[in-house]
Amino acid sequence: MINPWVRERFALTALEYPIPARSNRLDFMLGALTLVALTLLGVTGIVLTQFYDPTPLGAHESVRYLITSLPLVTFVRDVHVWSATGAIVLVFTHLAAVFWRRGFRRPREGLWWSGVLLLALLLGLALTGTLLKGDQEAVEALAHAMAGAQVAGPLGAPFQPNFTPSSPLLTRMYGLHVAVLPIVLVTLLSLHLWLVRHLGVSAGGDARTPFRTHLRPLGGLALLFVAVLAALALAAPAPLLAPGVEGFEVTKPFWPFLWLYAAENLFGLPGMLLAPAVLFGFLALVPVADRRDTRLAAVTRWTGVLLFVLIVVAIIYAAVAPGQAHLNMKM
Amino acid sequence: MKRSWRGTSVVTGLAVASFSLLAPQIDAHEKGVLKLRTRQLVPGDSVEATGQRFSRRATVTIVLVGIAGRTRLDQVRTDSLGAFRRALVVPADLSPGSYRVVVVAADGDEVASVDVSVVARASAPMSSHVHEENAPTARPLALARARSPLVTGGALAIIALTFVGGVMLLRRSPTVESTPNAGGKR
Repeated sequence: MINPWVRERFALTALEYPIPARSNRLDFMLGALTLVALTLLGVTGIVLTQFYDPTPLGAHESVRYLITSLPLVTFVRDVHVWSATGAIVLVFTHLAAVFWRRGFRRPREGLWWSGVLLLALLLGLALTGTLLKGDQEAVEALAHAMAGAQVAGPLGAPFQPNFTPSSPLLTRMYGLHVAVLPIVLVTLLSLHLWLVRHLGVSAGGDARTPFRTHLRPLGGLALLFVAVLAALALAAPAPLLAPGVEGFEVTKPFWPFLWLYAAENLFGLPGMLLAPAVLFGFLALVPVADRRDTRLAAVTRWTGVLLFVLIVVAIIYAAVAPGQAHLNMKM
Repeated sequence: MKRSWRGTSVVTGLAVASFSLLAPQIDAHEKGVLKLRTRQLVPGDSVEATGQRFSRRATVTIVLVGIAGRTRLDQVRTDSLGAFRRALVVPADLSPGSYRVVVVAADGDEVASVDVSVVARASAPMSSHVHEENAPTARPLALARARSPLVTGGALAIIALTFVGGVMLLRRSPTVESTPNAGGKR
């Protein structure tokens, strides 16, 4: 199908390496679809940086300006926000699928750990992205981030306003969002993809199908995914609240953090900090704890299932429960 | 030689004179405008303060000056227009009385001030932080979103094209065997 001249010059024969036939199933394409969402986030994010003012007083106004004055840029922003949702849904589903088929077992422990770090980075990007709007939700998220950082001691110092008085915290969060975290993400992603290429996916069976055949269904799903995201962006644009007022908590966080909100409702600030520690601690230990044909393997699997269900239940609970103020803020 | 010395003296004299005329202007702060949402503060509450026309990108300290001395409320950095906005927390242990909220520049100069009165909570007419209509809310702003037929049409075209392209690629994809999972074995 591809011209031999092009195939030779661009080394496309490298795409002929064999993979198991089952790799063409949807549950083996979730990682690649996450990559599509991340690419969309990168491209739309670059556009948004041209219009965003990362100063405490200019942030909200610049977002408001692009929503009310720039039709194309506001569509790009809506795609950016929906891509973030898509990426987080896909990465959680990818994680659950890999966990269920025990794709973390030898020799893929590094693949698993890099994936766990990528999940943490993605949540970091979602948090810093939320802060940038400068609206009430952003101010409340920033207050929670600062409270959490305070507990972390010296490690959390960069998240305190007085860490570098010459630069506002919001501007530093912007730096994290558009430079530091993306650079770390791309580095880890490169490692992750390199490991996928050389260790293969945990699909089982003989690797007989050329990887090239994988690209067609993957491309199809990617196009459908883009269509869905664009439709959502058009039908349900991302909202903007009024400029934030410090000291109040009247909103709920971006949905990927609702499980932390639920934990904070139940256990206060320690709950908000312990919940992610438990999740990421468990995920980090999974390849170590899971030993073939042992009772511990079954315990690990069902603990993971329990944690997954708990997170889903906590998100639903936090979404429907009445709003609650934390950190001595007012409602 | 004598003429050259005279010329140098004139130039030096003019330079010193110009500098002494300009120097106070170089040192001078721009006097800003400080506004508070309310002039009646309640101990323990917060009040929204906005500032304008201050020195650009400067760090200023906001203090509350009363008969008992000064209380530091916050330190803020002005933006590229010399403005800031911040919710100031009124110390909970503040006694009722007359006070002045002062903006102090980095070198100690007072660059703006507002007279306020601190009242006990029971006598406050309403929450001193915000009026009812300005209270923080989780409701999204009802913004008139920018719309363009070209952008909406383009977005719909992208949606249609990617959808059709996706379906076509999937239909032309090889069917996949669905053998049971090998449980992570290679």
